[in-house]
Amino acid sequence: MGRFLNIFKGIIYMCVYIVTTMVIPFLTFTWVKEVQILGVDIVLTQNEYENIIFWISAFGLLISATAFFNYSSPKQSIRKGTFALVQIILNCLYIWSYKFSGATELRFEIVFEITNVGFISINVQNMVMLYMGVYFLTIILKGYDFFDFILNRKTIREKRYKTTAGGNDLS
Amino acid sequence: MILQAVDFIQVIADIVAAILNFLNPIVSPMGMWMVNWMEYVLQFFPKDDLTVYIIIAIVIVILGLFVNIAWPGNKKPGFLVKAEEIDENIEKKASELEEKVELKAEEIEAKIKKKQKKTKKKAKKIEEKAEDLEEKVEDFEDELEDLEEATGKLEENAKNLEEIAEEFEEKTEELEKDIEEIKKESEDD
Repeated sequence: MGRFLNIFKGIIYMCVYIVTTMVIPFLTFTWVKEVQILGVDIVLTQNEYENIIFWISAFGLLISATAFFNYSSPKQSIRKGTFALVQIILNCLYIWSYKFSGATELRFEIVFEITNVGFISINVQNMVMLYMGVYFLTIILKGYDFFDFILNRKTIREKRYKTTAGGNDLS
Repeated sequence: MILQAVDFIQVIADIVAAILNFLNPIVSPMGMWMVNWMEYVLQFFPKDDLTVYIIIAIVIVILGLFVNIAWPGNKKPGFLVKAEEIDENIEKKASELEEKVELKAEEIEAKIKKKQKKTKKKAKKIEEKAEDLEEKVEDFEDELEDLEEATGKLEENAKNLEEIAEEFEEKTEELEKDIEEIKKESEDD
C-alpha cells in the first residue's frame, strides 16, 4: 500500500474514533443532562458534567491521534504494534475516566411539572470493571502482537516482500 | 406509563446483572488490577488544561504523518536488498561460468573434431600402408613360393647333376680301369 493510501486509512480511522470517543459521548451526556421522557423531565444531577466532558475530550483526542498513527502504519510493523498497545492502554484510561469522573454513578431526578417525583440511580461500576477485565485481555493480546512483530521482524518482512512484486506493501 | 418504563428498565438491569454476576469472578480481578495501575498513572495526567492533550494529539498526528510518509513500508529492507544483490551476483557469476564452460566445451569439441579428423587421416594412411604391406607380403609370399619352387627345381637339378656326376665318376672309373687295362695291355705288348 502506498504512503497516501496509508495516510488516508489513518485519517478515516481517526475520524471514526473522534466520532465514537468524543462526539457520541459528548452528545449523549449533553442529551442525558436534560432529557424528557413521556412529558416528564429527567434531570441529570451530575455535578461533574464538565469533568466528564473534559476527560472524554482529553482521552478522545489522544485515542484518535494514536488511532491515526496506528492505522496509517504498515501492517505488522513495530510502530503499528507499539501504537496499537498505546491505544488500548489509552482506551482503558478513557473507560476508567467515566468511573473517576462520576459518570458510572448517574443519578436522575424525575421532575413532574414542579414536583419532584423521585430519582433513578444507575451504577455502572461493575460494568466498567468488566470492561476493564476485557481490556486487560486485549492488552495481553496486543502485547503479544508487539513482541511477535519485534521477534519475527525479519520473517514478517521477508514474507511481505516475497508475496509482492517489486516490494509493494499489501497492508 | 412511567411505572411500565421503570419495569422495563428493571428487566434490562436484571439481565445485565446476571451477565455481570456470571463473569464477575473471572474478569473482575483483572479489572481490579487494571484499576490499580490506572489510578496510579492518572495522577500524572493534567486535570485542568485541555491544551496539553490537544498539543500531544497534534504532535502524534504530525509525527504519524512524517513517519508514514518517510517510511510507508513499501521499501525493501537492507538485508533483503543485500540478499538480492548477492543473488544477482551469483546469477551473473553462474551465467559467466556457463558462458565460459560453453566456450571451453566448444573449444574442446573443435579440438576433438580436429583430432578425430587427424586420427581418421592417420587411420586411413595406416590402412593404406597396411594394405600396401599386405600386398608386399603377398608378393613376398609369391616370391617365396617361386623361390621354393626354384630351389626344388635346383635341388632336383643338383640331384640329377650328382647322379650325372656319379655316373661320370663311374664312367671315369670305368674309363680309368679301361685305360689301365689298355696301359697294361700296351705294356704287355
